[in-house]
Amino acid sequence: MSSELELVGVTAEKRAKANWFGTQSGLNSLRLMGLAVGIALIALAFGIQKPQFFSAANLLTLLRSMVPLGIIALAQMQVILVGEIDLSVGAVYGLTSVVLAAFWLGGGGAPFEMSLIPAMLLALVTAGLAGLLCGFLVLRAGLPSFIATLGALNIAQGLQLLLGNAATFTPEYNDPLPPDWERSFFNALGGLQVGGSIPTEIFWLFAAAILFWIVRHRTIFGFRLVAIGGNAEAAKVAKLPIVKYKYIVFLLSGLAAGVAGIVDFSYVGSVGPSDAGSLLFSVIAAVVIGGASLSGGRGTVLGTLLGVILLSLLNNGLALLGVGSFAQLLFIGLVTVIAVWIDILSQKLIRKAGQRAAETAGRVLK
Amino acid sequence: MNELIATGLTKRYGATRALSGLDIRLISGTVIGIAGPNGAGKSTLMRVLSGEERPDSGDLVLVRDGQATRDFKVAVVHQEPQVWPNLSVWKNLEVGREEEERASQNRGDAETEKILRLLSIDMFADFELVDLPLAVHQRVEIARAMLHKADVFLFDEPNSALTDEESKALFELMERLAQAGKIVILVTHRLNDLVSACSDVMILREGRIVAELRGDSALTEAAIAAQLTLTEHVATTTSAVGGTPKTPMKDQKVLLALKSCADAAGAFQNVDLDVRAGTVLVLAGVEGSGARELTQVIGQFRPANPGRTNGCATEYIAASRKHTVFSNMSVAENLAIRLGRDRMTTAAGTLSLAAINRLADNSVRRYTIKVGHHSNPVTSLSGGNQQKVVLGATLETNADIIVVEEPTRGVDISSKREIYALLKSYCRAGKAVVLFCTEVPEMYDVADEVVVLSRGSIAGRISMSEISNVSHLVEVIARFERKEAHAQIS
Repeated sequence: MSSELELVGVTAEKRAKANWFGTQSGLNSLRLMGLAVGIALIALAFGIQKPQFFSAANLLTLLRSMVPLGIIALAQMQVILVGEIDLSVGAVYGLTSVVLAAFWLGGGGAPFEMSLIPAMLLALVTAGLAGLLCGFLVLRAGLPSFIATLGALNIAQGLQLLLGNAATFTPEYNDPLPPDWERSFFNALGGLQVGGSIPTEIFWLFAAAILFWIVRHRTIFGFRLVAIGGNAEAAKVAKLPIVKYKYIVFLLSGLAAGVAGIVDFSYVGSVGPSDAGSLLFSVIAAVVIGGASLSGGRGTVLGTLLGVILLSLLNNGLALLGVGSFAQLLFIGLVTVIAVWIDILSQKLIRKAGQRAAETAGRVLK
Repeated sequence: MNELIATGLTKRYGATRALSGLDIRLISGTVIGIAGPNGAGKSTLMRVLSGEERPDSGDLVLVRDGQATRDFKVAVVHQEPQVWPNLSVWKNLEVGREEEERASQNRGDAETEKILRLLSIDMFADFELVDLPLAVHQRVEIARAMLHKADVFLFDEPNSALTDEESKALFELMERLAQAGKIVILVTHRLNDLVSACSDVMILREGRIVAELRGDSALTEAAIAAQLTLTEHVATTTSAVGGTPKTPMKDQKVLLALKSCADAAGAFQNVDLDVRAGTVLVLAGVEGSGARELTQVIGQFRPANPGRTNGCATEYIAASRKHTVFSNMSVAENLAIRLGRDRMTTAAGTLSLAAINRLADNSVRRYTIKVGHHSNPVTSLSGGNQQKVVLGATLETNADIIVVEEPTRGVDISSKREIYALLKSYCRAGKAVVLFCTEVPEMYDVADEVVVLSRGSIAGRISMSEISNVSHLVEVIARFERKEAHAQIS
């Protein structure tokens, strides 16, 4: 009798475990897989409509278009993971390239000129300072990050306009022309085409993806970010370095926007006074589509990358189909909302599956 | 004379029965006390009585002037009054009655004023609550209930943050309400309050009323304490926890010495306290005594003067699991989150998932955490097991001093026993454990030394070797708290 009971217990326990892996973590990766499948279907639809969608040239264009969005979104994911938000990234992206251009090429509102390397350093320091300013306002002054970074957005935009002085900067046609080595070095950052027609800018996205994946998933820093975003009070009780980590997260966000600005400037070959565009909205949409929660505690590198792919894919495909940019906006808005809705539904499913498994485990292990 | 009659109230949460066929008859005229150990179903009973929650079965009837009705109003006066601090007393009382006010401006005003005068808060009518003391907030809550013509008044630990005079006045007010035909219920942990405010105390245990103490001879602090500790006392004697052979406390190394330490926010002053290796030190005292705050200062979670300069590693666990559990993470991640680089990284300096898994496997076994697999979300565990996860995460850090506020809040008896055993065995390795406890049986089970705080200073120190049983400890603590109170008055 007792052995029979034991046997029942063991199998039930095993079943509980099997059930667990079959459902909760299964569903979690299923959610990402769902997103990937959705992307594949949309791509297929584009390909059927317009066969040149799958041409090497277009796929390269698509990949290239993801670079600034991807770099910035990966950093933004960490900001959102800790329960904050950084609205200044688009403006910092624009400001960084204009700082570089104005100080390197002259002709804008910059008080003096310098050569390429110091100008680049200055631009990156500006981006880093923008991130630290956001951090200071949020962590020291106690402003909500929405307001603090909205302020930083305007400050950065104003600086960009003042410094740019309504000029468009183009290194190749600048007067005076920068030295050859400077122009070729600058071009190598993003614009140079290697192996036929692959712009070097693309490698920055790969580098950022690897770097952020390691930081998020393979460092104590990333591990603790999840905790800080999931329960700030508990993080305080556990004495995690909340303030320091959030400063780093904001700093990385600023720097990522800066790097994206510089390499994009190099790829495009010129920069104008208002080149920040609607990057910010795509960045936040990509992060959220990727499964991050605006209340903190949730966000992965893979999800964010999928979000970036989905948005860039839509932009590219719809343009290819000849859909006007007005209608494109409408589509992208719809897809964003639907993707997040599906994410919420799947989260509910995951939670339910988890509770079921826990109940089984509780019964069995009692 | 009015009566509130409950018959066969049953309420289940999952597998646990919070109320199991509870019968109770509450009669107006005097204040009725309800007491019970933690987990006896007090808060569930309150929620059911106040209509916040429906019982699974059972009936709740009010007999008003000889007529039975199920349509009656219950007012709850909370430990922390639910009022609008940004509004004046007047405005607070108007909320929810705006229509009525407009319809008959004068009558409403006159009635409100009458009640305010009755509660002697009429002089504050135009002040915003944010500037007024807690006692006034409470009276505003009572006034609101009176304006809404409540039949039943439920007082939930109402005087835990009041001064002696304020609580005396509150009890008088409660008595007046009872005499006016209201059913007045007092739920509190403080035994002396039950004795002084009530003439009738019901004991709740395991979801049922198991005893009623009435009359001066039956209703004493000792009698209530005996009733409350009955079940838990059994748990103690059967537990494997008790009876640690000890070196005398004086010989133990002092890990932390506080010298005339004061809380930065003024919760306590002039505290001298040694935290010794190998001991479980329990700080006891009601809310506002400074015991909780002192615990947080020792846990380096709260600033003090002079600051805690001592360099020994300290880990702290807050009272509420809302403030300790990372609900977005798995059991394994929760177990690892307090650890440093040395325990979780590979040679290359990256996070080692294998190390975390190994640690989680060991911890689940060592701390007897009931979980299917450690990759499960921590929220899938019961309260007791979540607490063991938090405790395990803390013990794994191997800190010199572990500070825990209310170590077994909302934890079932068997987990409680395991938690006490864990804390005690941790101490044996030359570490110290500092606890803030609210339940005397818990202190009895786990403490080596109890330090009683009252009104911001140490009122007494109890070495557990001199204590014979739980009631004895209750008595000694009560004596210290009273002594201090008298000293303050004189």
